[in-house]
Amino acid sequence: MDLKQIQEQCLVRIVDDDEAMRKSWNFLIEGEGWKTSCYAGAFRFLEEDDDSLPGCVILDVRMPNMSGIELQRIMGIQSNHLPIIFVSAHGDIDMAVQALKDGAFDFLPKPVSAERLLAAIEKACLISCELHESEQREKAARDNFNSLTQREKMVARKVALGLLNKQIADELDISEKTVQAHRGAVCRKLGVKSAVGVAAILRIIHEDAGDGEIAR
Amino acid sequence: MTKEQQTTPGGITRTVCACAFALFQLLSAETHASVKDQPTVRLAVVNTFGDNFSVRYFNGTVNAIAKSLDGRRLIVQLYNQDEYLKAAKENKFDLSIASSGLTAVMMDTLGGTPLLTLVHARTPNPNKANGGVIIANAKNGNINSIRDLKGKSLVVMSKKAFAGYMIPMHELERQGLNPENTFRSITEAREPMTRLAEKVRDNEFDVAFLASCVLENMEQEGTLKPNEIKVINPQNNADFYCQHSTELYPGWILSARSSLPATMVRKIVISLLEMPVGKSNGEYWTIANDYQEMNTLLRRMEQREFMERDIPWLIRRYKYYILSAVLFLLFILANWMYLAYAVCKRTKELKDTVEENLAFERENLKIKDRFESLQRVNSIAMISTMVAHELKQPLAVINNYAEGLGRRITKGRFKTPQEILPIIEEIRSEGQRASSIIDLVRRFGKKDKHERQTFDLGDLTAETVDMLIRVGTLTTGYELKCGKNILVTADRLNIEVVIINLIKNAVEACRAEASPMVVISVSAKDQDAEIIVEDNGPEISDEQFEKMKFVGNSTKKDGLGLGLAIVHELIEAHGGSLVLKRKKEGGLICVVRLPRCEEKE
Repeated sequence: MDLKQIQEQCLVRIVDDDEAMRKSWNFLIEGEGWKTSCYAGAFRFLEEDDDSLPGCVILDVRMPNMSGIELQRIMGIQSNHLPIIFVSAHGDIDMAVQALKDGAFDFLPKPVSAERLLAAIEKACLISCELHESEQREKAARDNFNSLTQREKMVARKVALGLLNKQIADELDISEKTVQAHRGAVCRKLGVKSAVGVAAILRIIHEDAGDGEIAR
Repeated sequence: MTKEQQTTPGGITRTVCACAFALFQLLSAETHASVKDQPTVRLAVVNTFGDNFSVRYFNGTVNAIAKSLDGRRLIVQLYNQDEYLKAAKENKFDLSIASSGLTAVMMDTLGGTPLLTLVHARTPNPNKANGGVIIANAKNGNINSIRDLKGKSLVVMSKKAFAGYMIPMHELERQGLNPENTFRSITEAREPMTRLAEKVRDNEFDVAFLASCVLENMEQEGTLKPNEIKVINPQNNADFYCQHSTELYPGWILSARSSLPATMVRKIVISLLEMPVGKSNGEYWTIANDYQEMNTLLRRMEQREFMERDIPWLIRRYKYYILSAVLFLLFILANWMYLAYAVCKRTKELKDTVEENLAFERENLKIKDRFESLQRVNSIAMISTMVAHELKQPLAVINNYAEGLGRRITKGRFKTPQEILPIIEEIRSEGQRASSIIDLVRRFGKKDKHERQTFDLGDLTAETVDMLIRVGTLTTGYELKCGKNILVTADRLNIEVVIINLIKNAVEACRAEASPMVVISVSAKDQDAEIIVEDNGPEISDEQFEKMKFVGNSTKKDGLGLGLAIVHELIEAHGGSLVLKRKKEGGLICVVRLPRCEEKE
């Protein structure tokens, strides 16, 4: 995935209570071709931000009302996996270590070198995009799988295990012809051509034949 | 019987009513030659009946005793009740004839042994030979029973008389009257009982108490006519043929003190037991074996008290009271000593405190000398963190713009140079912000006190609070209440230092609490502007609170000791005041007042 694609998909959030600071971040980051969104505080971010868009958050540690560290904790609770790049005017090592342990993407001391910040943004957004894509893929696969009938799902699980039509017909106590028809429907609906493709889809959505057996 | 008959040598019989018997006179005359060397035996007789009775009554007895003394001289003395006990105490007799009650009292307290008891024809039972008689004038129709005695006047021989006082009083008590307040008056006549009967007959008193058989004797003698006197509450007892109003007790008792040799006791007892029965009254000595009734009575009446109250007796009798009293006194004493000690200690403490305060004052002066410079150093230290942060902020902004500009120009994002102008404007504004911070520090460093300006105290407080949050000082919960348009003319930086100090103090005081909270409010009060900073820290002890008021004495471990001192000094320099108050539930309230000015200059 090249930078342009990433920048197109991603949104860089800037959370800082100091307006001048916010604006300067925005100027710098926007100038590099990123889409940005500025928030004057943690609450504004929580209320207004659309977390379905991949990207990253540039977060000031010290803010009135709610600190960046607290915001990170709340995002964790809300399963918001956007990578966070902390910026702090204080060389507080303990705080930095804790933030990184809690899953912060990076912790940059102020004044931040533009080079380093932009590199961090790029990396964070790439990861976010990939995560986003895999989530999208999983979602599509799950949607497709859920469009199958109960009987088709059963057949799909057997197909993924590499069984032949005859074996499947025996196990499910139906005719081979019927199995053939189901297999065709499964491949068409899941958008794959072979048993290997079916198995891949089931892997993405963490389904396998074993589970299917137990479920039945 | 008169005083002339007292020929006893040695003047032993000095007692008021002491008399010698006729027989004794004889006896003494017989042995006159050797009087001076002969040991004597002293016999005390309690004169209850009147001299005549007593003499006649005990004539035979005295005679018999005298004969058994192996040539020793017998000295007989007559006593009334009080004198008898006093004489017993002073060991003035060896033998005594007294009523059973009196004898018992004497023996109980002073020692002695009862030997024999006297009975006579009218009272043949030795255990029941004596009782009390309550008499009234026969013509007095008001008195017919014991109940009627209420409010009457009573005459007795002595309150220490056994049959003549204690026994009848006991009877009253037995019948539910309180002996203390039954009679209108009780007169102790200190005269023989025969006189009491005469007094009642002559209506001098309403009632008299007599010993049993006194009446009969008087009638026999002819001094009283049978119909002149009536007996109240008359009793009937087999073996007792005198009129009586009470229960009966042993009669006259002969007792011996330890001063009498035992051999002599034996002879006297033998002699008295062998004595023939008296012709006129049928009296003879015998042995009583039941004193229980009497002891009960004595205990009930608590008449043992009538012994003279010497100190050992008092101690015996009142030992528990005395003990408690002593304990109480000890307690009082201990208490007093403790108080004295406490006062002493407190005085010393106060003195120490005064000295300490003086030392403190001196120290204070020294501190004041150094104060100006210290204040600056300390405040600069405090403010440097803030300044560093404040400078970092515009520098970072400028940096960002510079970087951003460079990158955009490189990428050819700007079509005309005019597009760059707003960015340059931003950079310049941040540069100004940075330089104004530097100005602030420089001004502070120069200690330029007099550069005063008029500004809104609420705005400054809000800005300072904001800054403290960002610097990381105000880490607790907080509440900010700022009134509008509260103008003061002051050194802005100095006032900022004041606010910083107060908030810093408050935060440090309550930081360890479960939910630390600092409340800051700015309001207009009369002619003043008021900043109140309040925390919910721990309770402040008197000692800590006192210390807070002294300059340079912080109660905080890591605190900037001069915090409050700086505040105080700066506020005073602005003509304001600082007041500290403790909150009951814990925590401190700092109230700063500054003169308010009406409008901007």
